[in-house]
Amino acid sequence: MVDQKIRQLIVSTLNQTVRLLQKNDYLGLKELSDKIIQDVSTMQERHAVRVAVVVYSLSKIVQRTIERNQSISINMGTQLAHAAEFMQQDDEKRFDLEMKRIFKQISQRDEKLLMYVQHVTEKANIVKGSKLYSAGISLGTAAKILGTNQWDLMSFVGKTRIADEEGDIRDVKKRLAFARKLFKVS
Amino acid sequence: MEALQVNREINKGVLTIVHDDKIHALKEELTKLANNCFYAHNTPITIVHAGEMAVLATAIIRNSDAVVIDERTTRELIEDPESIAELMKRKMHTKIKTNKEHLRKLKQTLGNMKVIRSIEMGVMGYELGWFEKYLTQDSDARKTLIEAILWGIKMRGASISQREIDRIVKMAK
Repeated sequence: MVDQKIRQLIVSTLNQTVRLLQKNDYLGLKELSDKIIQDVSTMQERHAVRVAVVVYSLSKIVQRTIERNQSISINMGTQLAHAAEFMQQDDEKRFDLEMKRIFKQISQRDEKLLMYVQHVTEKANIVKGSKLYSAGISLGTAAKILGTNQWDLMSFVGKTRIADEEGDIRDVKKRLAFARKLFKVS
Repeated sequence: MEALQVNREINKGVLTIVHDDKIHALKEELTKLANNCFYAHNTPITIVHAGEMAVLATAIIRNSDAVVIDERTTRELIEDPESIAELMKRKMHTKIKTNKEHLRKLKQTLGNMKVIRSIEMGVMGYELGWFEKYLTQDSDARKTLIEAILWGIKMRGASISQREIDRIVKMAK
């Protein structure tokens, strides 16, 4: 049984995704993806996390397709609407199945896009992981929630400004003094 | 490749794999405590991974001089657990409640554990002369070397800011 707040969040997100996809609005999808990750940070609910990854992946796919002047034909509106319906009914089993179909469709839609989409999906997991990390969740936990590799996540986080924004420079002198004592460095 | 490098250090005896029921039990206790310290929407927030707590449990049972942790949340749990709640409140824009009893037990169990990071290890390696072979002929070669070491560690995910790097570069011998 999924918590009502989470159910409402997922249903609303999926319905908004359908509308944004109809308009090929990748910026809207990206904003929606960023918004749901804020909620996922506190809820850490696996269905919500998967929806966040789907929305982010779709935003990148639409964006790249537009940039390459290719025609967009992402016919996922029906599946997304079905997933929303099943979540509204609190039918986790059918929701799970529909989400699997959506992920499968994203992956198998176009052979040329397959590896790209897999890459985007993996990247999406890492980006989302870094957002969870920046919100205070440990690297290991963030990696576990998103099903991503802890080392890839750590490597990605290192290249962001997360540590700089936190600005923790306390006790630098003390740490070095202790380390010098420990390693007998005069 | 990194797995093979670690395996080599295990074979050489530099690193030891630990199997200890006491460590396992303490790891479970620390994980449970840490992941039930902070709440949002009346739900406990899972902040740490069992693997991260295994490091702390080993350090406690083995009475280690220090523990090397780059991971920010685990480090804060030892040094300033209340700051985790503040960070989450700020980033998640949500009220965070603290279970004071769990926090008290956690602090008591962790005791006065000393933490160093890969950053300090890197500086020590530099000060012990392990990186001399990378010095160039430039007049500011030593500054370049220590900066390169620290930025290399930061890029690989160590939680250190640019400000801190600049400060350490000034303090390095």
